[in-house]
Amino acid sequence: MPRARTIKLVAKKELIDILRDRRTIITALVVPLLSFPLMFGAVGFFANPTSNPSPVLIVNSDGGNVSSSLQQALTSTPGLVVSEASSANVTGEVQGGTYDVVLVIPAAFSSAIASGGSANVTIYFDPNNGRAQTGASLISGVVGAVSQGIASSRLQQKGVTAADLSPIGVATTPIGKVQSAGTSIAASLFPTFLLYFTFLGGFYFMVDDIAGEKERRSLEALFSLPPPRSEFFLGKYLVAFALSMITAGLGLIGTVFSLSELNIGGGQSAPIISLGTLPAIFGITVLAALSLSAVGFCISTFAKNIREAQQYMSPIFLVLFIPIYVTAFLPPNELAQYATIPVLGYTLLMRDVIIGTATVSEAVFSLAANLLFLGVVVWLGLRLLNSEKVVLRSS
Amino acid sequence: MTGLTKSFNDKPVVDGVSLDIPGGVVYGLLGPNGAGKTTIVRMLSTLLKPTSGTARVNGFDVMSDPIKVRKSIGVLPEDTGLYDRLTATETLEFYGGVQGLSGDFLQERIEGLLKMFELFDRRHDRVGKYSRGMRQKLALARALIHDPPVLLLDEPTLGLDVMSTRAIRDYVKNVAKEGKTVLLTSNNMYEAQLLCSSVTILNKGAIRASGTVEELEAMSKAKGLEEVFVNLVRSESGA
Repeated sequence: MPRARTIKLVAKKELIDILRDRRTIITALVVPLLSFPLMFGAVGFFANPTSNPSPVLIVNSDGGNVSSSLQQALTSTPGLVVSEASSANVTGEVQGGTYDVVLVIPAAFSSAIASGGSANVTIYFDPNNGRAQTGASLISGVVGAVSQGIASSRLQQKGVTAADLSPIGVATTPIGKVQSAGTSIAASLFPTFLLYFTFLGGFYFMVDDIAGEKERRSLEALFSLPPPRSEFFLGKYLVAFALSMITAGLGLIGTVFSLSELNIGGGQSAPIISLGTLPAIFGITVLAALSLSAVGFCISTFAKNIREAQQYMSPIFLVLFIPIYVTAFLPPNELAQYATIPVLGYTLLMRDVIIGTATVSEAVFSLAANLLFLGVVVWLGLRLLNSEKVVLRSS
Repeated sequence: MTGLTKSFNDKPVVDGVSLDIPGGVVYGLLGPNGAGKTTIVRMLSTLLKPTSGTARVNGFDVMSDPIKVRKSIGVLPEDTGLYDRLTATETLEFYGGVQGLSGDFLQERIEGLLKMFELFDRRHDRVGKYSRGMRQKLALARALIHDPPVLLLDEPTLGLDVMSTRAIRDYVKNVAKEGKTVLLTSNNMYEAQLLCSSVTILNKGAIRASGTVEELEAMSKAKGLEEVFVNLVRSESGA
């Protein structure tokens, strides 16, 4: 049996080392906590017309009642900052960036509509400008609503009702356990983000650890000590696991904050993730952290130096995460058959736990397959650590 | 060591080395680069398994009793392999702790060694800030932390300045006086002559000569260990 004393001493030594390494602290603590709030916050700010309104110029050559009503409706629309001019260099204003959108109301616009005819307004904007697209869309909506009002009034005068124009309606009723848009987004984002942060947390530590010890040639002194190598492995593995869990936890906090406080997902009062599912999510994250840390250790042990470890880590990182990204595109009833695929099983199970569709058989298959995977990877890591060819090779 | 052999990819790096090193002496293992000195040290510290043959350290077999062997030895590898972000005290606390020492005994041992190696005033500095000589002294303190009966020192003064070299040599002499057995590998014949009671000269993985400096001088009819060494290696290479 491995001795707890050595494991504790190795873990303590590694923790002191990590806490003095700014690179690991930034990667393991700062990035996961801040990346998603910053990312979602920035996206939310710039994509929201209220916080980032579109400057609009209305060139009104008409001056009649209808154009005045339209102008008033546009001025009171949130997300638009409206200016007015009787004439302007329309293309120049848009290309110069003074205005995102220019709306041109032609002369005799109101009289044409008042006499029962039709008239066009023209919207100018740069389609490469995302905010201009939003502004143009808002203006189209307001113009459509004003137009609809005029049409309704005309039809009423002719005795035509709304039912005459739209005899068949469409009603949609969502079937399933997803209660809110936020939960749905969380179910697709959480598993990926959690596993991403789980891997990220231990990444630099793992890259730097055995491969770094080889590069700094400290393994020779370490392995000349009496305890078996499995005890050193366990001490280091424990730290990688702890780092992964801390990173996952901070990433989770950051993601929850992004989804709730920043109103991503439509905003609702109900919690995005039910508190009852947290123990299951925690358990799955623990297993994922153990597996990913073990994978990292195998790579780090096999590599000759830090550079080589990084070269191995990057493609494996991608390979591990391809199935995770695929999860978002799999319908829930097809998930169980993929549950036995290592790592992917974790994301599927976590997603199903969040939306409340996880079954006992899916959980058993997923956990059994992933535990087997974990066992194989740990066994491989220990074998590599005991191989003199692998341990003593360095550049 | 009896018929100790180590091959990499079927190429012998150490070839049938048989050697009996008595206790309480400084024994030199000399040879040019690639002679197999470091490989022998690594086999004696159980880092490498012999391809054939056997070795016993402090009475324990390196193959069947590796843990007892590792408990009996203090190793100073060619590269110190210290952790740059730990202080000297933390370094010795870690290695001493893993060797099974703890509490006041460990603290007293650390203080004694740091004072002996003149590192006590810098004990709270990170090792990354140490000079090469200071690192070598700390690595030697690390090897001595558990007071082992056998010391394996691989090129202990390689690349050191004069003062650090002198200090390390003095410590090695003192350690031998305490009754420890020191196996020292070196390229430096002056150092070997100064420190070692007996030496073995290796070339291409095999023993070319063994004995006291006087015996080797008489054997090769040369004056000084350097001459003996040069004559032996030249005759091997046919020069």
